Amino acid sequence: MPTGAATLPRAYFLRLMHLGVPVSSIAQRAVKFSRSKPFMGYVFLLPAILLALLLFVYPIYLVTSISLRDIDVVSLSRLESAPLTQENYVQMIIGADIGTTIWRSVLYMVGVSVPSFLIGLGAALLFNKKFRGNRLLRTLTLIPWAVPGVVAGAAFLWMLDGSYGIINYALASVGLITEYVPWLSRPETALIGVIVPTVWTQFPFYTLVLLASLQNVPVELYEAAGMDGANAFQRFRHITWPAIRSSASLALLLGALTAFREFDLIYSLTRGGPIGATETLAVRIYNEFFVYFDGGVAGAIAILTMIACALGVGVLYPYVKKEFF
Amino acid sequence: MVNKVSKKAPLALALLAVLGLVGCAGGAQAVPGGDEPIELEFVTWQLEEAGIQDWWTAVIDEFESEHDGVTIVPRHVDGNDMAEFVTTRFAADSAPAILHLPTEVFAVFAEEGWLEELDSRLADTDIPQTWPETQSLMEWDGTTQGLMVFGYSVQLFYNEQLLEEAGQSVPTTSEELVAVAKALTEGDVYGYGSVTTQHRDLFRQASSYVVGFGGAWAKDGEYQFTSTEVVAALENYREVSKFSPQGISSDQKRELFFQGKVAMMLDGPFNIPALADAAPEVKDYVKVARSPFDAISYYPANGLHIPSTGTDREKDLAWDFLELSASAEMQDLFVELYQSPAARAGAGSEAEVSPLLEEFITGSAESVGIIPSSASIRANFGTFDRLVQDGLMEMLTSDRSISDIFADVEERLLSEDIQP
Amino acid sequence: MIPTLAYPGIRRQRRRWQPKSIVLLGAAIVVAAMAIFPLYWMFLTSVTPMGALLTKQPTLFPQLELLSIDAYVSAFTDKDVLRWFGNSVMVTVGSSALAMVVSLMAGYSLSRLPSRGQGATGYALLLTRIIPGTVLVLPLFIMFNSIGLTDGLLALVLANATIIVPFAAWLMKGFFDGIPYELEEAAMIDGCSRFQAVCKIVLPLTAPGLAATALYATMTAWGDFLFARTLIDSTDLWTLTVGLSTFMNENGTDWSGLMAVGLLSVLPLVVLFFVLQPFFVGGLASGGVKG
Repeated sequence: MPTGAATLPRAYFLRLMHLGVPVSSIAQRAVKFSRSKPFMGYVFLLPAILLALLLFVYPIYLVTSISLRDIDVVSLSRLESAPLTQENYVQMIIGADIGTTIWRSVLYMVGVSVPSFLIGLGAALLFNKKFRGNRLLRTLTLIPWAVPGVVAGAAFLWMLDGSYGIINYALASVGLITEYVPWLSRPETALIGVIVPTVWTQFPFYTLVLLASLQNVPVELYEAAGMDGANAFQRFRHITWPAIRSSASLALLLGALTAFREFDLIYSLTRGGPIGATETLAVRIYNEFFVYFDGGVAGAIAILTMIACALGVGVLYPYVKKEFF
Repeated sequence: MVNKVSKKAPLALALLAVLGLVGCAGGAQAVPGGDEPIELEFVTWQLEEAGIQDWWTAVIDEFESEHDGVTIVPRHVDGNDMAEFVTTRFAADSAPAILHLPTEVFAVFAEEGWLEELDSRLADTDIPQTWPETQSLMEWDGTTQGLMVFGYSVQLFYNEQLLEEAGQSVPTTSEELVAVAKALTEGDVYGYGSVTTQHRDLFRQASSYVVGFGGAWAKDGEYQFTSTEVVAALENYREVSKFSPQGISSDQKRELFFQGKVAMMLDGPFNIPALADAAPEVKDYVKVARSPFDAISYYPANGLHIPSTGTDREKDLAWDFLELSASAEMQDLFVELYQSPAARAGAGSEAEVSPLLEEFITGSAESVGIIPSSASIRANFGTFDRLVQDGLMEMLTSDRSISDIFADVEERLLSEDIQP
Repeated sequence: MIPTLAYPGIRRQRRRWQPKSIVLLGAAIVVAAMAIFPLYWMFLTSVTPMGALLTKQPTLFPQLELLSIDAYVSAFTDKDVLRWFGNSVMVTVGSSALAMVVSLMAGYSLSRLPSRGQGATGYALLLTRIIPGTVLVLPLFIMFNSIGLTDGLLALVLANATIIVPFAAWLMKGFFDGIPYELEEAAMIDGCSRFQAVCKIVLPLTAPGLAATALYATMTAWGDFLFARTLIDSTDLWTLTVGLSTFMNENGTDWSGLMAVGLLSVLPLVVLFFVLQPFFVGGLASGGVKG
């Protein structure tokens, strides 16, 4: 065992850095020159693969089977004997207004991700500056991310209350509304009513990721730009943005995916109502199974959702792989 | 195709994975047989509700003292999650031994053939003679598949103090209800508490207006959505709801009433035991008057059922539980603890009851049930309920004419092949 | 391009008061205040009696004469909050630990031991991250039920771990990529086995990354609601998120109680945040997401 093992690698690492070898290229070299042992590679992957097999493959098989059966309330013992049918898919496409649900999912995903990203970016730029109290305030700002979906749901259910909610009070005080709005029970405002709490829980994720990548932008670049007389916007446009662009796009992708599968928050606020105004795909699948008792259509929508996911991820994956791996 | 593959294969694979991953997944359970100790699962949403929770506990205790080695495992499931719970359990072929279901969704499960037929067992009891006529709602496909536990008439709760302060008297007609509600709405206080959000009670509440106005959702094989009675009833609902807090469910409505923020509400007798938790300044002023509508509506709320999937022993014991709950002694206790009329005729006549209960007892006799009788509606209640609720929400949140809204609802119901 | 916070030993120069930094501080206070306002409002609600809450003219500060901790007292006396808390802790610790081990191995494999099908594995991991839980929950119940695992915390541990692993493995791969392979090689040349090299050299260097991943795992498992309410039937086994729903029952919504317990459920995460957060920013900077 080498003596001082704990200090050796850091010294070694710093020496490599000192020689001007960028971290990423060290990493790439590491992979290239590694004496690969495929067998070990599989062994290490095995637990993850097993877990995925266990908890994804069988459910997906089952949902596929349900989607192809003439069945309303699902039962395992009857599944095999239920007649095969394509009716669920036909019904989903012509009768179930699936286009509206998809559109609503997209609207929710974009409506959550864009404001979350912008607020997150603003906060990251702010907390990247040096000032006293930075660390405390930064941590406070990040806290909403840790709030469980149902707790955030409960808090906003109360804050958005149509009669005694603080948000109505605040908006009325500053004159933005003349009478209180029952945000979550009006079809035209309910989507905003679920987007706002979601933004609240998601923006810190962007702050965190962007802050991390901002810390990697060399200060010298700003100093040089300052000497060239660049203004704040130009500095952002030409230095900051190029440096954080790739991690920003990745964060947006991951954040949007999180929004896509969001259930806890929407369910605790509106259960998909009123008149389906907040029924995204994730919520719709739940409602079809358990509220409308139409297991077959629920299965068909679930399969459609998964195919959409697979295609979407398939298109983005090469890009993601290049950026992330 | 996927469905050609045996469903056991992936399951076995998954099982293997679990075994590999966890080492040992819980030992096999001994299959109960003969007179070995046995656990019966009993599921209800009422174990957190004032009054009734004490009654269920009493029934369970009595049952366990009469049956050695039999344990009732009570499970509380939130009312909103009841359907999900039952669906999930049936899906996995592990239904609880004793099932408590809202009457509306009973048929959804009966239609699947999952509930035990009880006719021969009932024939040996006095239940057919002593139970209300609504017990017939527990019939499906020509057999009785449940025991009605609770039904109630809907009457007017009001806060006497709030009415007096505003110089209003108790409304006796639907027009007066709107006028008084309007007069009482000021500042933090609302004149009337109405379900104004998508909720399972939205349909029930709207139904009590429809029935109250002498209408019905469906009659003689025709939908009645655009009949004068239904439109007038819904018009009244829309109007009076303007003086209610917006976006509230039935439970929030009750909370606000008990906190003195809502002056009147139409509701059932089960609110009486909950009065104990009301704000001190409200408690003494809560009164009940006859519903202001022409007809009194009656909601046959829920019943007990035995899943047909259990073993014979489980079914026998579950039936003992049902029978015990229907016994004269337990029915007396029901009235005493829940402060609500029991199913058994004449039960609780000796019990000490709140004076507030009076209107509910006299009212029940002349009341009209709110559950549509169409088998197609009942078997597809999930979809029916959603579409009618969508119509009701549109009514509450827009200015569109009621007959237009509900003409659309009717069309959608028919396109889903839900027949009146 | 040295990731600063990843090495707490290296500190930036001392900060000084300047007009500009006062402006920044002001802006930061506003941002932080907006971010934690809903939590503040939950707190205020939890210490105010119901009667005083239902008003159209709410006061933004506690009304001292009305202040009451009844909601907290009754949460512990009338409800099983401690038990729910314990269950949440067990599920969170169990699923995080399992997920950490599994994703650590997977991340290491993906980073260091290239094998065939790696790209496909990465794709599959990402895909499983997106599938809505509502698709999985009924089949999972059926599956766990057929092997007798439902209504046990183990089912929850497994379900949560599965949700955590894909993203956690991704994060870990990124962190390992950021550590030069030469370090392990050097250690192995010095006589360490691969396992020793990883434990003694790689893991300490990825500590910020591990902290970041652990925090992600903890948050995901702690916040789970969908799985907990479906896979668990016994009230004795409820987690906090499920227990919360009992504050909304047939007779009304107990806002004070709901907010009190909701706030208590956030508290452990806040503490964890303060402890781990410096590592977290640094952890992500050091390689999780390339800058």
